[in-house]
Amino acid sequence: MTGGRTKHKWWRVYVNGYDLSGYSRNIGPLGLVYDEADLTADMGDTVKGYLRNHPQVSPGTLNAVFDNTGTTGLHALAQSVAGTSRNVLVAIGMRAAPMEGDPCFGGSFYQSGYQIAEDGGAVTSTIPFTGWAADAESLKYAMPFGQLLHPNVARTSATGVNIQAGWDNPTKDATAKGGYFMYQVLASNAAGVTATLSVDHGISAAHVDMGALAGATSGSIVCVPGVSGIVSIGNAVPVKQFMRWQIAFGTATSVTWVAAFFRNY
Amino acid sequence: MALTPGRTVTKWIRFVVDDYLGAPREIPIDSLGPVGWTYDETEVTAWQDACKSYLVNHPDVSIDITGPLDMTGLTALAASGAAPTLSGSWTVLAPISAPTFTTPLGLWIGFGMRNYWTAAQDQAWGIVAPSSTSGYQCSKFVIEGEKYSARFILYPGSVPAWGTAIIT
Repeated sequence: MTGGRTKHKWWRVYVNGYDLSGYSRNIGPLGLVYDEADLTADMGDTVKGYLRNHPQVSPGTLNAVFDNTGTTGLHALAQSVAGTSRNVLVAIGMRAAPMEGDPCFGGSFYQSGYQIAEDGGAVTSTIPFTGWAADAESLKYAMPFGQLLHPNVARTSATGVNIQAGWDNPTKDATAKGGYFMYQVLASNAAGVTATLSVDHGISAAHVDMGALAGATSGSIVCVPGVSGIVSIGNAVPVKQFMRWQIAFGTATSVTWVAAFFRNY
Repeated sequence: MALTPGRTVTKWIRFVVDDYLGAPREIPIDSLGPVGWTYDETEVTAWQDACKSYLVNHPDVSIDITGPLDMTGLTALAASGAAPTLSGSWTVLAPISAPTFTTPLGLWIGFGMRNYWTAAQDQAWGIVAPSSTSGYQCSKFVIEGEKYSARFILYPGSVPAWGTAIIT
């Protein structure tokens, strides 16, 4: 995790277990916008006052170059099942490819279209997304801003579980309002192999202080491209200051995956 | 610091909002919507009047900003007369925009006069001493490319003010 500002070129987009970054031009606006209810008491208040009501949460529109690469390509993913909900994760690298602790935006949203259009001679694709999907794993949260837990990297059973130090919460403290875990499997050594992806947290970054965040686990899943999920924990679950990714290999010997944790405040 | 009344430019404006634990943090901005009172105008003209007549109703004091997306950690607010010390826009705004975060926020905008904003001489707007029933709320946090946009609305019953004090 690096502080400071960044450029759009360091963004990465993952949708339903596919890395679409190689095709994508931009995505957004990544939004959390509340309805504003006017609660001004005309005879009692001096100034207009408001309270926030439901927020609209959406990743906006994914604009990409058209590409018909089989199975993992943009067209293969987007054209066949338009109109279904997607697990969308946008990782925002800080002047480099995204790494652990970098900001990200993610959630479950309906893909509301798929269109191919001409843009100055180029053939491009447009994929709009709706607000939060009503069939999402959890409607308990609407906090789409989180931190990248695991970048797009392969982990092998030869290396085993994660014993690295964790990374710090950007606000430098623990929280007590739960959150949700998103994972996306991009590749594995073979079809049908299994692994468990999960979240560790701790009171310091040191390995000895790290332990499993209860409930924030994929469980044993079949690891093939196209597998993704969101796992929410309770709204009142304490989440310690430091975090890191974790993996337990089942029959898989190599898994390439990305994950994020969306801490609630 | 010597009193420097007169005119100024945007480079001397400071924007500060409480983080989710209530500490004031200055964040980077590159645009700022109108700041101050914007009153509803109620027309009360009678046919017999020589011209249209109005009364003013409640003012609206919502504030919109944009700026660069920034992941810098939380940094202590610079004192009066000192150069700004910026916290990251993401680091401050993401937590306070969470749906479960409902605490009213202190918010302060300082207009330095051709120099670093200085207490007791330069103008400032906002709520410098928020409470559980007084302050602003972040009602929008949107990221687009390298920039963010955010909006702040007033908690019901609150009254911001112009002054020359710094937020604490």
